[in-house]
Parts: sequence; C-alpha cells; structure tokens
Amino acid sequence: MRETRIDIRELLAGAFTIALGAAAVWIAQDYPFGQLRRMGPGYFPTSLGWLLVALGAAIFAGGFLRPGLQPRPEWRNMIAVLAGILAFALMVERFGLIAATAALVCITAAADRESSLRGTIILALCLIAMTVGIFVYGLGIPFRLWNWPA
Amino acid sequence: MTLIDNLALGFDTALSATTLFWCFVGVTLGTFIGVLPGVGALATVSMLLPLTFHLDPTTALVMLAGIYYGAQYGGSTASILLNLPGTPSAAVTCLDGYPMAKQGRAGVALAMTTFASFFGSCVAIVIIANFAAPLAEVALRFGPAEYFSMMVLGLLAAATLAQGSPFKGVAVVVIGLVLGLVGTDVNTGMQRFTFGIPDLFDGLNLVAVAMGLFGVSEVIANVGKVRAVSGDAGKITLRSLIPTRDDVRRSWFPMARGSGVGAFFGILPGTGSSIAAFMSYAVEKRVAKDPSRFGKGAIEGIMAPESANNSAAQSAFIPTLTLGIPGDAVMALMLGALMIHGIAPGPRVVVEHPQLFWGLIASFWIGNIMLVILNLPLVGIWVKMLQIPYRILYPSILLFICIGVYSINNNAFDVLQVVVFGLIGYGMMIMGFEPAPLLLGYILGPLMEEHLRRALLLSRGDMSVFLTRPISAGFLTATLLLLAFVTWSALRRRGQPSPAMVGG
Repeated sequence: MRETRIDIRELLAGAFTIALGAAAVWIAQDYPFGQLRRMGPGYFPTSLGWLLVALGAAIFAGGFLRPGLQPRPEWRNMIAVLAGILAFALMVERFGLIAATAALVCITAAADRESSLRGTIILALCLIAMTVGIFVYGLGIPFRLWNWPA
Repeated sequence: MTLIDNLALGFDTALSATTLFWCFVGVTLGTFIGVLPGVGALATVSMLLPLTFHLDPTTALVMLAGIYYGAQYGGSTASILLNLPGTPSAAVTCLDGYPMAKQGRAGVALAMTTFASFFGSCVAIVIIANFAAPLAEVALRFGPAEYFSMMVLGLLAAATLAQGSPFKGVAVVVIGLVLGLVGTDVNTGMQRFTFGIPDLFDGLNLVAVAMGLFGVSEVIANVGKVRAVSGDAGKITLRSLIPTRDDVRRSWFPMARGSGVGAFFGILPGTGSSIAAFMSYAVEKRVAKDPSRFGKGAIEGIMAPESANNSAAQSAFIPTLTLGIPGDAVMALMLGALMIHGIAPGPRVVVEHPQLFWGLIASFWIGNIMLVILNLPLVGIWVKMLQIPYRILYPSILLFICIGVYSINNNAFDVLQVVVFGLIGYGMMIMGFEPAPLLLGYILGPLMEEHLRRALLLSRGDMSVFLTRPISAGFLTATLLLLAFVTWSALRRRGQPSPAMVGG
C-alpha cells in the first residue's frame, strides 16, 4: 500500500458523512418541523442530519492533519459479489429459484481468480440440489422452482 | 417468586424436547461458524433470523443465543491453529495460542480454552440469574426522559469505545438512527425517506440491512484472502488434550479475573466481547510476575481472554433483556427478533414473559454443557472444517443470504436492499468505519425519537427535564465522563506516533 501525505480515507469518510447528513436535512424539509413541546415528524431527522454534517466536517478536517495509506478497494470482488446477488434478486420471481441460484453461483465465482469452470458448475449443481431439498421440501417455503416467461 | 421458583420455571421450559433440539442446533452451528474464519456470529445470526420466524419466540431466542455463545467457543480454534481469528473476539487468543501450537501444545491450548469458555459462561450466568430481575424492577420506574438519556449513553459508549476515531464512531451511530426512521412515522402517519416506494413504508428490512452490512461486505473483503489449512495442522489426538499440572495451576486466577472483566464489559451497554477480551489480556500482562512470557505461549494469555469473551457474550443479555438496550450488534439483532415476534423489549419482558426470560437463562447452562461435549471429544472434526476451501464456502454463504432474505416476505425487493447495503457496508469498510454500531442506532432510532418527543411533551418543551430528574442526570453525567475519557485518550495518542505509521 502506498503512503500519502494526507489521509484520503478520512477525506472520503468525511465527504460521505456530510453528503448523507445534507441529504437527510434536504429531504426532511418537506416534513412539518413542529416545536420542542410538540415535535413534528421533521424535527428529529433534521437535527440528526445537521449533526452528521458537523461530524463529517470534523472527520474531513482531520484527514488533512495526518498522513495515511492509499485505500485499495477490491473492485473485482465487489462487482462480482454484488452483481451475483443483484442477478438473484431480478431472476428469482421471473425465472424461478433454480435459474437464480445458478446465476448467483456462476457470477460470484468470478470473484475468486482460482475458481475453475468445472468446479463452479459442480458447486452450482450441489447447491441447487441442497436448497431445493432443504428450503422447498424440508421447510416448505413456497418458491417457484422453474419458470420461463413467454 | 423466589429465584428457585424462577429457575424451576426456566429449566421446565429449556428442557422441553423442542427447545433442547433448537438449542443443540444453535450451539452446533455457532461452533461451526466460530471455527471458520471469515464468517462471523453477526452474519450467521442474521442469516438464520428468517428461519426462527416459524418458531415460538422462546425457542427462537434460545437458538439465536446458542449461535452467539457457541461462536465464542469455536472462535479460538482457528486462532490457535492458524494464527487467524475465527471471530473478532478471539483475535487476542492468537497472541499466545499460536505460539503454543508451534511448541506442539495445540491440544492443550484447545482443551484449556474450552474450559475457560465454560468457566466464563458459568460466572456470567450466575450474575444474570441474580441481578437481571432487580435491575428490571428499577428500570420499570424509568420515564421517557430516563430512557432517552440511557440510550444516549449506550449509543455513545458503542460508538467511542470501539477501535478507531470517535468522530467516525458517532457518525456511524447517527447514520443508523436516520436509517431507523425510514418508513411510516408512528405519531403522524407521515412517510419519511421512502421516496414513494411502497415496499419501504414499513421501514428498511432489518435482516437485509444486517446481512448487507456484515455478511456481504465480509465476503467481498475475504475472497482470495482466506486460506484453508492444509494436511498436518489438522491432527489433534485425544491424549494431546491433557494439560500439565502446571498449566492448571497457572490458569485459575486468569480465568477468574477474565470472567470478571468480561461480565463488566458485557453489562455495560454498547460494549461487547471483543473489547472484553482485549482488556483482560492487558490486565493479565500487567499483573504477571514475568510479563515477557506473554506472546511466547503463556497459558494465562489464552485463559483470560477466552473466559472474558464468553462471560461478556452471556452477560450482554442483561442490558438487552432488562433495559431493551442492546450491548452489541448481535444483541441488536436479538432485540429485532423479539420485536418481530411481537414482544416489546424493555423491563416488562422479565415480568410479562417470565417463561421466555428464565427459559433463556436455563438454556444458557444447558447449551454450555452441550458445547463442552461438542468441543472436547469432537475437536478433531472442527479442525477438519478448517480444510473447507473458501471458494466453496462463499457462494454458499451468499446463496443462503439471498434465500433467507427473500423468504421473509417473499419479496425480491428485500434482496435488492441487500445489494445496496452490501455496497454501503464495503464502502464503509474501505473508508475505515466500524459498521457494527450502525445496527444499534437502527434499532434504537424510532424508540429514541419516541422517548424524546414524549419527554418534551410532558415537560412542555422544557429541556431541563433531562437534568432535573436524578436518574436521567446520572446517565448524562456518565456520558460526559465517557466523552472526557475518550478525548483525553485521543489527545494522549496524538503525542506518540501510531504503530502502523512507524512500520510503514
């Protein structure tokens, strides 16, 4: 990891916190604020939003005061894992559990450089057999197993 | 009712066949995931939460609790054999456990840590049985002002006592509070932060948030990094488990001190077993006649933290069940499970659901005995588990997460929430946030707003109500002391270069 003169991680964290706080304040503008003795639905979220902005500013400022390490996200892992879950979410109702499981296993397997095609297919088949056995027949959760939209 | 009556009721509940069965399932699963590095108790409890919706609340809680303390037993195995903690709270056990394994004393270390875990749990169970009910009685007299101040203390303790910058810790808790407000406002019926999406009117899905933040982000960080143990390290014979007389003699006091430290941090709202383990190791090093033995396979260095993390895991149930304030993120999930079962957490639980409360306590004892049986003769099997490669494990974990979340409401939108929170969780990890306190904020957010509203409604908008009521003022004073301590130790650290920087 490369060392940097200012702490980039802290700057990112501060900006993230400020953005969330500002968003909360902005959205909560539409909710009646009320007063201390009778708070409206906007009172608490607006206060929390401002608190986040202040905390974010403190974190951001702290980033300039000290050196840090360059953050190194694992892009490949992140994209493969999240894409696999996304595929499951989008497919489970339209195509059924079997297709969604196969998609999840094959896409997330791409995260590991060492995984082989054969191993992935075997794993997918085993997991399909297991989930159908445990969740559908064992626990009786009503899943649509297979579906092909016309 | 006396303590004996209560315990009788508890054992009556805990010894029923269904409860025994689910308790066994819980502790076995807990040990299993505790042994495996890269799968934590938090991820597992959230993964199995949907399954417990079909059980009655007592059985559900017994099983979830079993996973949590079972994981504390299993966590030390990977620490000792691989120098890689199976759970965060077993990280300290690496320091002396792994050197012991290198000296060929892995068997002794595994056996003695099991014993330490059992000892720590027993101490904590005695404390729960004696102090939880009186504490709940005090808490019954709390009004909204007291509750609000207590939540402020608990959340700030969780935010600042964890590792890292206090500002970031508080920010994480506040983010959690805001996320907890998503959905319909109970007082006015107004939709807040829902962006007009009907699926969000009931709020974010607790299980989806927890799995995204902890399960998914953990997997992203671990793929390609976690290595399975190969061949030889896995050979543990029954004979090698027997400690020497010297080992036993050296272990008593560290175990007793560790259990005490653990119980303290367990009861303190907002702090959990990891902090307890670190603190007890520090205590042992300070009281030892020859501190230089530590880090080279001193048995005291594994006994104290292992009894401390178990004692903390068990006593964390005290604030959770009697006050409704979760001690750590796993406890926040337990509270979530209670709420889903329609039980409002708080001091009334002890009075209104004695069967649940005392049944759970009795199940702790039974579960711990099961764990000793599971861990001592079967240690060889658990060690074999370490040989499962992560590339088989992680797609399976992700699949169970997806199926678990989907099956709660049969709603694919909940799985989409997992994607979003997986992204947020991993992003927070990269930015150096500790995401666990977020869940505490998420659970307490709506409660805190409710108590604040009610307190100020009763006082007609007079803020001084938080200071004029003595118990509330006490909590706020404790909060101030905590903040002073955190600021002081942060300033003291700034004077010296941090260890990470020296190495780089």
